[in-house]
Amino acid sequence: MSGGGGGDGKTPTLNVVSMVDVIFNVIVFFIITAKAANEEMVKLVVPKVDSPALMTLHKDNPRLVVSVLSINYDDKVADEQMKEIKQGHIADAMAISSGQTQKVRIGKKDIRWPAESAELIRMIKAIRAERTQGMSEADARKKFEVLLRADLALPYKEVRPVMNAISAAGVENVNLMAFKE
Amino acid sequence: MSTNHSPNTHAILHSETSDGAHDAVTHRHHHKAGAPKPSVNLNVTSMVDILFNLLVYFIVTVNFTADETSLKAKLPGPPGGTSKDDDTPADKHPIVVDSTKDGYGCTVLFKSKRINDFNELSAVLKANNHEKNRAGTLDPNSDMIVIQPTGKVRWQHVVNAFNQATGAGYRKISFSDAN
Repeated sequence: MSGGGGGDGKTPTLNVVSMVDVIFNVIVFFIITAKAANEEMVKLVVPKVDSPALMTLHKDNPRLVVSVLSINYDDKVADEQMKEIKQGHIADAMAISSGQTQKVRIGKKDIRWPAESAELIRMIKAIRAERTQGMSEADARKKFEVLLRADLALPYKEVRPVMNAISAAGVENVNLMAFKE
Repeated sequence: MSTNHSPNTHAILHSETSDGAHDAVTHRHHHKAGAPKPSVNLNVTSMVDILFNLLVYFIVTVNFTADETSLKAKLPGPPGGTSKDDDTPADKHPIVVDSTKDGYGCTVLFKSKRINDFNELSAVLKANNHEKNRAGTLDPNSDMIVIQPTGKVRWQHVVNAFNQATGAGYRKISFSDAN
């Protein structure tokens, strides 16, 4: 190499090309993982249970996320609820939420509440058929699962119709979502 | 683009070839006639700025719901419908969950005995199985328990009761209709 002997008056340059390469890769990684995890996960505060008995999800089972959201729900309310829960004030966290269902999110689609249960069943069935394509009916029955997430403050009678719709659509595996600890 | 050679770019290119020194000489010869050599530096500073911002954004948002976990449920068939689990013998005694007057808390009854907190529920369920002289072991395929919440009970408590039943070893847990 032509030894860059000192003092020829050039501006020193920092070669950032490789750094840009690395950053691009890291960004792509985060974009992909963010999508994979959150595609259907709308921000929602699920129940926090005592000494949770954890289940691990089979990575490649076809699944669908069903979220039940209450009326005044937005990110701000969710953040406030989270704060109360972290301090152990579960009743306060409940008081922030309206305790009435506003909408149910099935996959990436929102359904206003109250909805026709027939409509709910139809949608869940359609998604189930789409995601278990090429599987035998027995296999689909065994593997397809629904992750049910509901605002912790919703009364049972608000969530029950959604549970009914899920089982009426022929889904046998339902996972209830809760906080880890 | 290809005609604008600068000493900088050559240095990078030739470092990878074995006869770099020779090439450098010939190129220097080419440029001799030219006046000031324009340097082709790509200014990536602002791009790096943007990339860093993007990076921070994705790092911050990626853990959105990562601390949620799932509890596996077995829901009963639709009302009036037939489910193949209907013939599974359920424990005769449901876990009854009722709301307290303020609407936020809950009371739990099992075999008409008041349960004080959810950790106790799991112990009571396990003791109940001992009583049946089965050494507390449950058959995940046949043992089933029913959770019977009233309509007003908050979802928080329903899932909590459900979680304790799972913790006690039940794998088939059903929910009664809201009343």
